[in-house]
Amino acid sequence: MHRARHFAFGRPRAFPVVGLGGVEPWRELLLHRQLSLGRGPRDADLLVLSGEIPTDWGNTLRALFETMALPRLVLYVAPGADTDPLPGLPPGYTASSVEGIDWTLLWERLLDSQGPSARALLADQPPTPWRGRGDHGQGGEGMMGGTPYGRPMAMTMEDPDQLALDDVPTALGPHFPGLPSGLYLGLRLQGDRVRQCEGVENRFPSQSPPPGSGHREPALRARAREAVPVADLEQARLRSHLGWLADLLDLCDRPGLAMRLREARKDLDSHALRRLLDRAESRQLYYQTRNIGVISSAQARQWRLAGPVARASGLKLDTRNHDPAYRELGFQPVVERGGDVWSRCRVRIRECYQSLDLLDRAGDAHTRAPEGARGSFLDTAGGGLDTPSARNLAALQPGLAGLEWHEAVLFVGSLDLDTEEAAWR
Amino acid sequence: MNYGPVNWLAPPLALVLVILGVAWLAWVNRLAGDLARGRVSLETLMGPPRDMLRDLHKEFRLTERPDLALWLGAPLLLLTLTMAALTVLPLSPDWVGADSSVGVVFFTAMFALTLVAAYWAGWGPNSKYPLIAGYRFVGLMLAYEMPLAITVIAVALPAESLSVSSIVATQQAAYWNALTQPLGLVIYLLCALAVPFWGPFNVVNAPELAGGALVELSGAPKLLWRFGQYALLLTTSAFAVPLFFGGGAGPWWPAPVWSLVKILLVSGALVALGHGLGRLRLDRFMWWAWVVLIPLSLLNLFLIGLLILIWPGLAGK
Repeated sequence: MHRARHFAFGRPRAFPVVGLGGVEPWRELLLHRQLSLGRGPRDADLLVLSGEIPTDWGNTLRALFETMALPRLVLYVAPGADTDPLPGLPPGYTASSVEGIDWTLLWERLLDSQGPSARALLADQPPTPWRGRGDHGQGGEGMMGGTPYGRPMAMTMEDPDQLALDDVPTALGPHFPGLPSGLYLGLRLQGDRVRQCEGVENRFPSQSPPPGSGHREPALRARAREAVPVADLEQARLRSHLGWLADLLDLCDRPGLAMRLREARKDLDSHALRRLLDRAESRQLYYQTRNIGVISSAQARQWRLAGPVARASGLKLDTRNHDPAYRELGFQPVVERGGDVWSRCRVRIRECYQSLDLLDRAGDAHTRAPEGARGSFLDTAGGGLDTPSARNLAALQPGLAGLEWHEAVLFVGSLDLDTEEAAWR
Repeated sequence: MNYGPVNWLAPPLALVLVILGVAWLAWVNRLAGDLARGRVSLETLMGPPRDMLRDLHKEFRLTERPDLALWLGAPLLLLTLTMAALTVLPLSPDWVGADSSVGVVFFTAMFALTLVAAYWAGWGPNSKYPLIAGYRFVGLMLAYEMPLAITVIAVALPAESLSVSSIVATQQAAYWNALTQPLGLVIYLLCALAVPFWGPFNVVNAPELAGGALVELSGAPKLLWRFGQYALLLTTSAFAVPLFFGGGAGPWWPAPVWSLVKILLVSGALVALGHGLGRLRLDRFMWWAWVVLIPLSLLNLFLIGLLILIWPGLAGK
């Protein structure tokens, strides 16, 4: 029995929550052969807390962990970590890096049926009492709308075809698989169509960019008027775009190609990457993403969108275009006119090819163009930092209305939002 | 009806064959997935039994106020429908659970009732994402059911019978339907993927719904649901053999062996194909089904009718 249990959880499934600086450790962990990706928390054995988790996420994470079926464990991966991050969660397994994980010890803790992870964290009772009159304790027959007993109830509303349909309040996030952690979207659904996005919330706390901010670092250094090697900037862009493309392919149910892209992004081998990018830019992806979440160039300008998102809507916004080093390399910004998810894919895929070409030619050229993978880092009027992710968040609320659920998820994914970056001031 | 001596053995034998068939499909699915990832290893072989044991050792956790009867009934219904449909599948003229004169109507009716199982799985856990998954399957089913039914009628036309055994016998006397109705075969195979919501049609357990109907399911009921889905895929593929590939026809081996080999090949090919196609958008599929597939299946029906009128030998006359 013990052996069978050990065998059964030999490749535990993980569900990620990505905190500050946690994107890269999570992507590294995803490639590990001892681990597989769970589709949701119920499907997972490990709640992976990657990076530094904001302390005010404690309640949400406790509820998330409580939805996980036994056996379960919190795996905390963050550089320099030596204690469990959140007091509300049971002590799990802590590692400073993926290589530092002792898998035997991890399995031992995961399969410990008397351990702290096996105990209930929350009382097994409804969040608010049920006192309704219906057969199953619901609010009462014939009642619609409002929030009886703390539970929002559907109210019929007219849909675009003038049909009276239930209008169901629901949420996307703050920890939805495949989308950035900390992004919470309050939605009203009719069937599986989003009638309205009521609110967008980034749950990362506002702060200054920490030193060593991963792929964004070269662009941030350039923003500080430091001359940065073009090769550094383009490698960072390439890695970021490839990571984004892999996540989007996962959402399109193409995990095989997504995994190959994640592996290829480790060493950026030009030949292998070009082959994979050719495969990714397929008719299949075109049919899966075309005409979804269209943003016109006027809307892109009005919402002050940045980077590939703006360029996919026909705006030639790229600070590299005015940089002498890039001009010398013959740089031309990649622009598409469709404004849909497919155009955003095309822009990023073509920018990957462009980065590979620039890496071949760049030599030791240096630049001061603060153009990161998601767009340019600008200064606000008060001298603060205006990040591309913060600007692109503006597209969510107006852009989600009218989309079907799968379109909504692809639309959010296509914006390549970095919620940690969006909280930088 | 066939009440031959083999019938009392049929239920346990069918169950054993379904279990072996599901194990085969789980392994092919794993192999296709690992080939796509470039990660074929010993884990490719060990993965399916590991997943099974994992589900068995995982706790079944309740949601708040679920409709337990429907939630737990969904995988049972899926499996029951599968086994019921298999009763009219002939492995040979003697190896058939119930050689009904309306076998074709019976198994398509069982396939249609999959809708109920998928909707129960969506409704039962009292959770939003599974509920959306349940809604979506209704849309998918309405789109594929008409082309499936018309294609099956076209297959029954040369036999002038709704008995699956008669359809096999007609093909063995003349030509396989795969040769005379290639268009029908393609439409049937597409529907054979759609009925168990597999591969491009996986709108029920979709990643953009964090697993859809499976998002709240864990433990043994989840294993049963996955088993039911595989078994349904095995069944829809299995019916392609008597409908299009001449049933147990083939040299050297006895008819049941040929039937089983063909079933394993067709079902394995469909599972692998599911990995290669990528998922379809539901809105696009519905457009395709209503605007393209239904007219094409009607065209197939018209063509085969015309061919039989011109050339009765096509129907073995």
